[in-house]
Amino acid sequence: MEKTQQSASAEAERRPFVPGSSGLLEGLLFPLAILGFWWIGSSLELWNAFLLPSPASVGKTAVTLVRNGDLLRHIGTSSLRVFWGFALSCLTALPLGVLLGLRPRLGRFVNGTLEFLRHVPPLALLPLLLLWFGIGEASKTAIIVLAAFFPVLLNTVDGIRRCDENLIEVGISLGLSERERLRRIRLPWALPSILTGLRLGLGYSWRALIGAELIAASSGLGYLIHDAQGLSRSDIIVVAIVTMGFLGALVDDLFFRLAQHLVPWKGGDGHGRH
Amino acid sequence: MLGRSGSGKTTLLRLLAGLEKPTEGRILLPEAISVRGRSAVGFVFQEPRLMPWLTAGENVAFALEGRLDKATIAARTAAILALLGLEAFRDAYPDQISGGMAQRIALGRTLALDPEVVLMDEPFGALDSFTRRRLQDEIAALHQRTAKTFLFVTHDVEEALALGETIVVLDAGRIADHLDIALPRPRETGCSEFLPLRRRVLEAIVGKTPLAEHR
Repeated sequence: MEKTQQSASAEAERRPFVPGSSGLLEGLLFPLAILGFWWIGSSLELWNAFLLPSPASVGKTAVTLVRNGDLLRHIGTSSLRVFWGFALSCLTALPLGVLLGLRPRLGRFVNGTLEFLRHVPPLALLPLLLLWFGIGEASKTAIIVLAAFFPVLLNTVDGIRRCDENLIEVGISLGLSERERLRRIRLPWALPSILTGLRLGLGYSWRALIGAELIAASSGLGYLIHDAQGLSRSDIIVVAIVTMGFLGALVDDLFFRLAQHLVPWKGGDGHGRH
Repeated sequence: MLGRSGSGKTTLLRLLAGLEKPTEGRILLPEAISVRGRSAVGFVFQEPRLMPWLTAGENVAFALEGRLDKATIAARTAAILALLGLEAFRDAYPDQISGGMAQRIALGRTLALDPEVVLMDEPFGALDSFTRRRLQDEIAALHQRTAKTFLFVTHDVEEALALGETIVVLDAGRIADHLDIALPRPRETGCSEFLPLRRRVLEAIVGKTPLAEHR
């Protein structure tokens, strides 16, 4: 066990992670195959063009939407919502996570309630949120906050709780105060977990928002789909879906790289042992 | 301090460091040490226990951050790294260095606060015998060079004979024997002068000599 962890972390150290560069060609094979199948199928009219428009018409629509600024506007609206909602979520979940991590006894009071809330899908709360906050931005922000809250909270608690007590002892033996031990030992130790929580929370936020925009919004990518559905424009729907996929993957990848940069050591002890 | 596993030597050391509280009795420290407080007593653990997110140099400077100005910290860190022969590894991370080096960094971290007493809890137990031998010599040299008191806990009789100016043998939480060794270091414990010392120490630990057990 020791040897593998040590060599794994050493390998991660020596082999810099560059996503996609080595698998770029191989990674493109499958999407290109899908694209090819799609193209051929449309040309041969294997299905109704309304069910799935040809790649050409989707491409044309995409260009139109970019040209008239609609696509970018919707991307901007959705992204901004996620940004504010996610920020607000972190502002509440991070401190609470640190507190619960440091004082597990407090957990006795809140754990049951939190577990219950965790299992309620944020979208199920949407009708209630709409009632309380109206159809405006507030209800969208609320849903994002709810979606991101638990991954961030739970991973933060976990990161703080799992801190190697041996390192804390080192802090004590060197005369560090409890505050210093928190700031200089527990928090750095918890950082990888916290970043994982943030990354998960961001993904959940995005998904919850799109769901909310599908149901009750007048702007954003989810709304774009909803509107296109009403106008029977499945080409616009496909454009929106593809955009969401790329956007989500891009943001996640950027976050992942940020995390790699901040925490190259991945949470072992001073010598690859736990 | 020498003794079998479970003889109480680690517990005693941790009590001295303030990492454990005594259930009865008191620990009295010389006035010079209690005045200076925590920083007068340093502790080196069995494992290196380095902060994995810091480089070797940053680990050595760990206790100094916030207590001294940057220039002094840099100077002291450099001095300690030089003392322990680790300048080349200043920017390495703990997962990039060997066990022996990590343990030296840990020692450097303890020495950074310039403690008067250095408590060492079987610090070389996890290392191979060659590295252990080298580090023993380095500790002996450090002891010679500085005015510090080293309190070294081990279960290895040879290690105690090689390093100790005074050996206190613990058995089941009590002092079983106490002997002084005036021989110069580094010592070759294979020499004949060590035979009576070794026998005495073993008797204190085991209760009777190994030969006696066979009779």
